[in-house]
Amino acid sequence: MTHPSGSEFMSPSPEYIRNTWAFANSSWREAARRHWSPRPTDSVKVTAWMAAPVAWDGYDPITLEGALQSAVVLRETGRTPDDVFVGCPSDASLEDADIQIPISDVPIHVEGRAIPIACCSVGRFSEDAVPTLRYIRKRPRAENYRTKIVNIAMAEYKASNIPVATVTCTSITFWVLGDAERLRDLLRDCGHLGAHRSGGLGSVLGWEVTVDATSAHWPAWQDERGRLMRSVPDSLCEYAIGFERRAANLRAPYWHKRTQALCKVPIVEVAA
Amino acid sequence: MKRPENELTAKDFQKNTKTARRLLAYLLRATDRAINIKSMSRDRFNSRSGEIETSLVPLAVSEHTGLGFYRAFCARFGVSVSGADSEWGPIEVWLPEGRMRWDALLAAIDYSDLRLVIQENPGFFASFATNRDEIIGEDEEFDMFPEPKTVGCYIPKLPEVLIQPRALRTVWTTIGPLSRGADSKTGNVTMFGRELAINPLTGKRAYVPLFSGNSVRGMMRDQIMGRWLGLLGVKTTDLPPFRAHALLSGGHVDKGADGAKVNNEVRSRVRGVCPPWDLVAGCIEQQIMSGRARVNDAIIVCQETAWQTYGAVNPGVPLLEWAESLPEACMMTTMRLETHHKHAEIPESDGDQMLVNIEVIPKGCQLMHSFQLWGIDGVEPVTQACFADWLEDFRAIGYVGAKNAHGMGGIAFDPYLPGPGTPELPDPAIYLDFVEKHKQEAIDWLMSPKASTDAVPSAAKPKVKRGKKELVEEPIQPDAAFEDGLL
Repeated sequence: MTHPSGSEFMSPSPEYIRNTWAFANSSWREAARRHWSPRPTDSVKVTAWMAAPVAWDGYDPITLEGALQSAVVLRETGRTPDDVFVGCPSDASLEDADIQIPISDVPIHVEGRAIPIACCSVGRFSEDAVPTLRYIRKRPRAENYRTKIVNIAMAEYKASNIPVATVTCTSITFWVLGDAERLRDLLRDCGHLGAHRSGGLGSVLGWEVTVDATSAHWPAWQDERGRLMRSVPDSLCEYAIGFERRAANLRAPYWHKRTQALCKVPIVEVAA
Repeated sequence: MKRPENELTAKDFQKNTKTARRLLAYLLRATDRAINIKSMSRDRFNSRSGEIETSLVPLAVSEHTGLGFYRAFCARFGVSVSGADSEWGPIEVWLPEGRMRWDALLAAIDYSDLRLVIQENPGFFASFATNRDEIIGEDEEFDMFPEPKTVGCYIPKLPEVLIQPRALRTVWTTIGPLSRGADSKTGNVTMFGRELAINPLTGKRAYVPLFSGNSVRGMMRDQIMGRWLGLLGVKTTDLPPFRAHALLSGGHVDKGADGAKVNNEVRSRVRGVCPPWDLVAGCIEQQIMSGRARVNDAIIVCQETAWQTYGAVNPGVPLLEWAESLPEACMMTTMRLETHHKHAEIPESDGDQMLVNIEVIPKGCQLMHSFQLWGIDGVEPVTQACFADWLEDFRAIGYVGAKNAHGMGGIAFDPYLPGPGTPELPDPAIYLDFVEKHKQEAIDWLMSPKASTDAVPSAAKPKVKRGKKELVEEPIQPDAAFEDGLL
């Protein structure tokens, strides 16, 4: 094998490949691809009716794909995503670490590589949305520790009262091109959106999944007024409005910088 | 200011939030001017603005009508509303456009508006009431304040059928006053935390008492870990402190834990040996782990939350009819007066005698609550059985919130039922058998030192002592409190 620079280098040995995370996890990822790839591509409006405020800092929009990916991992492996992805190298390629969900993708060439962009808008809050605040408290049960003195004001036993920026709204809506039936099935395991889920933030009362068979244009990327509906590479959606240009990630999980590029990121507003 | 000639009535005003804010401000100003300086000490009189500020919210919460609120307010400051202590007659409010007797003014205020504007900013009313001289143009400022709630701005069409996430639900009924504890204090009053909520049936916003899922989760962690340790026969004070902290409080993120190597051995061992950890998890030995249990907020059943609760509490009744039959959120709490006695007869008693008010949800109210086991199909049967065991335990204990020792927080509920598509939980006996069989393994793990200390700076680079005495981990004698139980 020859490097583009002309120098020769060794390709990975079969033994090395067998020891990689990608190889060890290929079977369930392949099963996920079979089970959850979208068969029909419906125009689907997914509405999450909220039972609690959703944690949102106003920077990166709320997305649906990560929640669906978690649900797929749980369905296919029975283990939590953080346990499944232990050992997955942070520089693993998309081909080795991507998780199939029932949403259609469009591969887009960005900076010399093809990145599948999901046909799914970011979450749009209902018009009654209002910014709120939730405090998350944690206190050490100091009297149960085998130490003479527990300093709850600092260091490892510090008690905390952390404010979390939240949005209170009745619903959050996503416009998706994907498989409605599979989405309906998978959403039963998506009980929360956003961060701080274990304490109830972002709790979903129920999902409403409606298919629109008549619409000629579906606002998964851009709505009819030209408003940008999800993060896209800067080269796309030339005439879009309602976005900011900055570095962002294009593929779930969105915290991972694997697909970071210069993007148009939709601006999501919350009324005061 | 001269006494206005024009006499106004309640019909001259439209009931809304802005009206409530303006009229209440002028009413409190009139009341402040009726305070007799001789009825209180000079210090108290001079600092009355602070007293007004701290008393408004508790009084608005503890009373349920405008008349009741004003009676309580006047009683606190020794003002006779009928004018018995002055020659001027009943208290009269002077507005720029005319005068108004106090009772007519209160008739023009909706009580839910009154509560909302008081909770918005009680300090504003105290400032306005005690301001010595009227400021030119101050009345126009009332029009500039934004509405704290929006009326009918957006009324969504609620869906008829929802795909419910798989969860276990029940409805708690309070059998004693329920205190949440740990909210802001207003004077000597501990308030029940509130959160802004939207009623999609009306488009109105309101402050609804909040009992957060995080607080239920903390209580769950205490109980479920306490039960597990109890079954093992281990006291929390027997454990290494870092492990007790992890089990009972979720641990702490060591320096480097976020970027530390993921230790599969530690993760699988702790999940395998400690089923409660699999449910609540946290950070242990530099491993940040997700728990399977997701604990949702307990949603109080009231008008504003009717759209969220009617399916669980009263599914047969149409939503609108159900909502109209419920009280508003602002009527869901009351005050509980407690006293702290000094016992001055005991020599060297150093306590303070005081009256303490606690805002509580009274008995007879209902709250909808749910748990979710994340990816329930893949949750180990032992973990599910552990959860089932704890749910039975929780039901038997029947207490949530704060001040349990004072008899508060008693709840009764039917067993948590699985929602649509949610499998039944297994028999708790599976968990009890598991704990019995793996007792020694669990104790060995509990007593073991940290698995890895690579990235712990204190272990890698011991700091140079600078004269302060280092705290040394050493066994202490368990006191009497731990003799009977663990927690």
